[in-house]
Amino acid sequence: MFAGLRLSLRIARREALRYKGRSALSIALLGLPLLGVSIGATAYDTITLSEEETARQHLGENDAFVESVLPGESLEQLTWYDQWPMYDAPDDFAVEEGEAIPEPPGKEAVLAALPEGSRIAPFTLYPDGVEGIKIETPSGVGEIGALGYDLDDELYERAGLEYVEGSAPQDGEVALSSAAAEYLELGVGDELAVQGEEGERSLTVGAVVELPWFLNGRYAIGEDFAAPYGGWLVDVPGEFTYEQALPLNEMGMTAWATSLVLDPPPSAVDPAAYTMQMDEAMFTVYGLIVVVVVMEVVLLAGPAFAISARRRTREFALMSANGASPAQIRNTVLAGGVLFGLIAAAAAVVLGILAVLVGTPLLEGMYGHRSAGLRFLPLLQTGLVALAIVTGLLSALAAALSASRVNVIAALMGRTPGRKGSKKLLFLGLGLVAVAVAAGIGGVVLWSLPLMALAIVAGQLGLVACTPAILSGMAALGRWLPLAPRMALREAGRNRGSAAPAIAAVLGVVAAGTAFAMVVTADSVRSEQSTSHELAQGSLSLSLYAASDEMTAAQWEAARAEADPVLHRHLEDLEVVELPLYTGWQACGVKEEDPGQDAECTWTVTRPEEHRCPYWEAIGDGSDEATVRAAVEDARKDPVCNEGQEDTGQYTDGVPATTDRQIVANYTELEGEELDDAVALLKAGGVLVSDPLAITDEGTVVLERSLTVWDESGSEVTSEPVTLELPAMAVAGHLLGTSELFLSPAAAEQMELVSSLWQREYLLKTSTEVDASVVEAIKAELGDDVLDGTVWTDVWVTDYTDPFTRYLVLAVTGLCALIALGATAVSTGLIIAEQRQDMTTLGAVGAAPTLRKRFAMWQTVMIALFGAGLGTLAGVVGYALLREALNNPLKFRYPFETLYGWELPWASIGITVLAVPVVAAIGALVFTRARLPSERRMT
Amino acid sequence: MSVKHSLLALLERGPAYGYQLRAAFESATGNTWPLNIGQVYTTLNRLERDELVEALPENDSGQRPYRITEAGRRQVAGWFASPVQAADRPRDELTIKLALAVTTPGVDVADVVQRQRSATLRLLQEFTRLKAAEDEAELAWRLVLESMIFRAEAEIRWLDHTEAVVARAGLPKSPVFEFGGDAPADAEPGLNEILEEKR
Amino acid sequence: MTVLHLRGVGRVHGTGDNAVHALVDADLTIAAGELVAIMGPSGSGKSTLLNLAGGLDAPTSGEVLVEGTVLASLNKKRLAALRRRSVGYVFQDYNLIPSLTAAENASLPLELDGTSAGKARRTALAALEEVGLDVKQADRFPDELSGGQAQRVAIARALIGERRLVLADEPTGALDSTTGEEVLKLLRRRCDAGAAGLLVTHDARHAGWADRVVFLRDGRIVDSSAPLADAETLLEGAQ
Repeated sequence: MFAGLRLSLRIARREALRYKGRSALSIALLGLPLLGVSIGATAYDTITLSEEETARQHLGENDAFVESVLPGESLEQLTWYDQWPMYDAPDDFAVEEGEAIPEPPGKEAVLAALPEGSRIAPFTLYPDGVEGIKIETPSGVGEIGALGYDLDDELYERAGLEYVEGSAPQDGEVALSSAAAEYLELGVGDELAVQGEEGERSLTVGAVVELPWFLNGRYAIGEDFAAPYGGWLVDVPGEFTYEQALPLNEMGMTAWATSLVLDPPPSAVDPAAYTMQMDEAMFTVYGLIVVVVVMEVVLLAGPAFAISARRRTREFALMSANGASPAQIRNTVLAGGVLFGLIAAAAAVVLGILAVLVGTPLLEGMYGHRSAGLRFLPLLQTGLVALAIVTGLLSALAAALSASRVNVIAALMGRTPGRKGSKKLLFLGLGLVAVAVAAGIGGVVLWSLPLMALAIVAGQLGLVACTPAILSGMAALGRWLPLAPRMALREAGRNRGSAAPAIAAVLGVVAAGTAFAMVVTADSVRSEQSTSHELAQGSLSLSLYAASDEMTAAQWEAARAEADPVLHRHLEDLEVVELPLYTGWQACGVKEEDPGQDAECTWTVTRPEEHRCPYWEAIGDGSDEATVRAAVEDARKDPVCNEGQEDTGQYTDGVPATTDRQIVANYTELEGEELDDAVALLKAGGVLVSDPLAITDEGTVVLERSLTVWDESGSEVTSEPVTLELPAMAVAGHLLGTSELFLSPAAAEQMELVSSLWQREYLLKTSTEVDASVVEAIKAELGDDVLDGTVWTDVWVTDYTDPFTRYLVLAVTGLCALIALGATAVSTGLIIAEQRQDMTTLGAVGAAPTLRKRFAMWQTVMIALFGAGLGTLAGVVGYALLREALNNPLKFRYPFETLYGWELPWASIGITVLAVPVVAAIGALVFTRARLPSERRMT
Repeated sequence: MSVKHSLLALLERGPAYGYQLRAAFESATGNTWPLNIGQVYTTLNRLERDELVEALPENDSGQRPYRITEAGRRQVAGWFASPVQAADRPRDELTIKLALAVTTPGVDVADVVQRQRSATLRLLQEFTRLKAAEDEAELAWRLVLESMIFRAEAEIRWLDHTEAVVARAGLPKSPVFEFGGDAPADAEPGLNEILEEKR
Repeated sequence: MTVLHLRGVGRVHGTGDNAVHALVDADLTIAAGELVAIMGPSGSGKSTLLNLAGGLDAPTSGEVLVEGTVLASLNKKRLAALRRRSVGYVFQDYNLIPSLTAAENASLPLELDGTSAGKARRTALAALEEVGLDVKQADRFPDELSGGQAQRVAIARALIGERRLVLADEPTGALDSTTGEEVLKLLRRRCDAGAAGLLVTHDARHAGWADRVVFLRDGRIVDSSAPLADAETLLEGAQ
């Protein structure tokens, strides 16, 4: 047995060497997905640090980091394994409003709690979260974190702070993080201009430094800056112990020490209690993905094995004549699969590790911390090798089975094996498709992912099994075609053994790509449909947000005034139009009556009685599933039941209220007469609503107010609903934002709403072409806030499109097309090679040399068309299944969920069904040698 | 076959006695055509008369060596230069036998062909065996053997062909000689039965 | 000692009106040391007989015995084992597995049978030496060998190890006549050394190398010829 395997492997190895191109292709097909996984796994393991490594990276040779979290209180620290320790606060802990939060313990207090001979230095784990400094940047003014560290203290260097350039800064000097230095385009010796309250001052950059766990942070370190709040780097004589941590806990401080990460005190809570477990559904989804990927790889790599096995038929017959048992012949082909799988896995693992090795700096930059050395999840990589072998074996399986059943006598006589089995195969295929349909339906109904996986696998295999029959059916249609396409079609029908696997390869790729593209497209259409539009697409606007509660109108004005010059500098012919926003918060007169209370005043658009969907009454209070289902079914038939999920939960906040024609036009996207009507209505004190069924016969709408008031003790008081009837007009679609209301100032007043407390919005009209770089430049100059940090700013272009989805779909389609193209080319090449003799005959009867080219081209077109066509079909069917699965939980809900629809990704389908055959045909024309084999012999 | 030319060709190697010529001839042709010594001397006399060879003085034991003359050399050259005429076997018995077999009623032509084939093949087997037995055979002898092998093979192939032609054509109705009176009675055993018995 | 024995063997392809009688009631015995040629026009059942003799095909009537074993009594696996151990085939051309060297090709049946690689190689080198190939040629791949050399390797393989029966189907068909002659001479020698050979040919000259020639026509053995006892007499007749 073993000796037989050795022989099989030797033959497989020599075959692989004899046909290097074909072998390389098979290996590449098997190895590419593995390479991705290998890179991912290696990168993940390389960049992911253990708890101990994380602690060592942050603390270096120091013993601990302690931080004041509950100043003046005593706490009980529960976990010790990471930088965010969990702790129990005393029961009676509460900060009274208005009461000053106690200062964290100072240096002396912390030192006093630590053993004799301890050293501490101020430290923070969030260098960019501390109060920053305003500095001059190459493009304007920016802000970076400022850390008041005295870098002469060796504790910092012991913690891992590294000098990229220069050395510890002296008086009047600062150190910049390398990311900040790069951002500011500064180096050692350059001046850093800092803008302070007392004007601008200049600091010399004395060093460029790096913290190994915060590579991308922009911060400056200088003695003059404020020391970070309540955090200390601690170095104690000997090891930091639990006993040493206890007095710190007493002072409301937590401790993170390497020694305690490694050896937590017995009272520590098991970290597992706080880490998320991967749930079973996710696990199954990953399993499903693995199954699908293996399936595609098998379909892709399988044809190479099948065709090579067909070419070696005589060889197998010879082996049989020399006493090889069917099992030995099967093993010979399977050995090829194992060999290719092994090589592919080895290459993938080695290349993956090398890629990560080379890419480590990039990876560290992306994750912002150093890696602890190259690591590669040996267990997973071993699994990968096993997976590769399994994939290789599966790819070679069909070829191996047919090789072991080779008709020895026919093969030895040089006869092509008969067409037996086509019918059997067809029935097998139809059976598999039936199984797939049953499993698919079962999978959807039972919500069983393994069944869905079965459906995908069985469906694709079924289609592959049906391919020969379809081909022979199509071959009959060839009679009316010119010679080259007719021969190509007939050959495909006759040489089903070669053509079918080639088509299967294309089919597999295209099916997966199509299904994926359809899901993504449908999902993006879904999210687009349920997005509420506010400003029109492409509008440029400035938003100001209050950092605190109490903002006066004058402050808002000042904030805007501060932003104005910046805007004018970047935008020509600028016109700033305010979009007045109203809110129900602290409105409806409550605040004026009693300043101690908080209030939320919500106005809901109601429908007149006859337009109300009976669903709500139908289900009543009961909510058993059958009643809900029946009610939803009824609702589907009722035209007044047209509410969607996005129609619920109205907020009366940020509601626009104006009669400004420009704003109304931009916001509602109305035009012409309708716009005139809308403006007229608003001028008359009316409102615009988004629900046409809410408009009464009199052209009004009834608004219902609910008022929630929280009194001083924080308990809730709700008053009786109040209604208000106003003239109204409907603007269909989700164009009125989340509040679904557009008011006139008069209506807003009637509704007792107030100007938004936290937000001002301005429409910026300009003749400047606004693109991402302009917005970026404005933002950079404006900074994140104005008016000394009391108002945050944002400048943005309204964009409801989702380019990511579009590019993703195109990228995936492109990749699939590329693979399909490769599969087509290779398979065609192999088939053409098989038909050398026919070509010789053709040459002998005087066919033009270009016939070979044209024949190759048509053969390619035939395979690509069949593969892409059937693949698209399989993909659409697969999507139908997926769609059912995705819609199933959404279907029986009211208000209606937007369901996954039949949005066909025409671009993707176009690429696969049209572009792939055309490109393949061109490739065949260019790369096929025109000379017929017989002519070559003569030269 | 020309003994005359063969002897002349042998004398091309140099002067020789009659018995030497006979031995050389037999060795070259592998005893296929045994020559008797009388035939050799008669021929040599005739050649001397035609001045194609000349006799040299007798040796001690009274044997006369012969040497080829210039005219003899020309004769030999002419012999090698002219092709052998195919009309060597003007009346090949096998051909005549088969030609009659297809026209004689009651003869199983296939059987006749097969018998001949077996016989010829047997001959072929023997030639092959002879050839195999003498690995280091003289070149001339090998050529002679192979000539016979190929001739036998050609005969077998012709037999194969004849068989196929006969099978395809069907046996022609052979015209019975106008004889007056009745045809021979059926009671007499047909030719084929007699042939059967002979097996 | 009888190596191959066909007893009333028949082979019918298809059934009913479509039935084709490829071989009818064939009796044939081949002893060790004997080379038997089968002649006949194409379609006369020569190859069928050969396939039946090696167990590649199964008779529809009668039985085939190889070294005393009735082939019909063996399952597929044991038939394969029989081919590994007792029967060797030599076909017209492309006899060798392209991815194995000459020596590996010759030792293929041994390796398939589980013999260790070292022993298989030693046996193969000895067998190749017997057919006139040296060690250097033994390590060449089939596409580096001449047609005659390839056929020699095939014959060496057919008789490697314990194998005693070589079934040759037009083994010289793809060779020029001198090379073909050499190959037949080799086959003859191997039979003289104790092997039993069955040679299918349509070429009388090749059949001449056999001890016995069997004629096949339409699936029937019509005649067989053994050489006459005394060769010398024939020569007289040829005069």
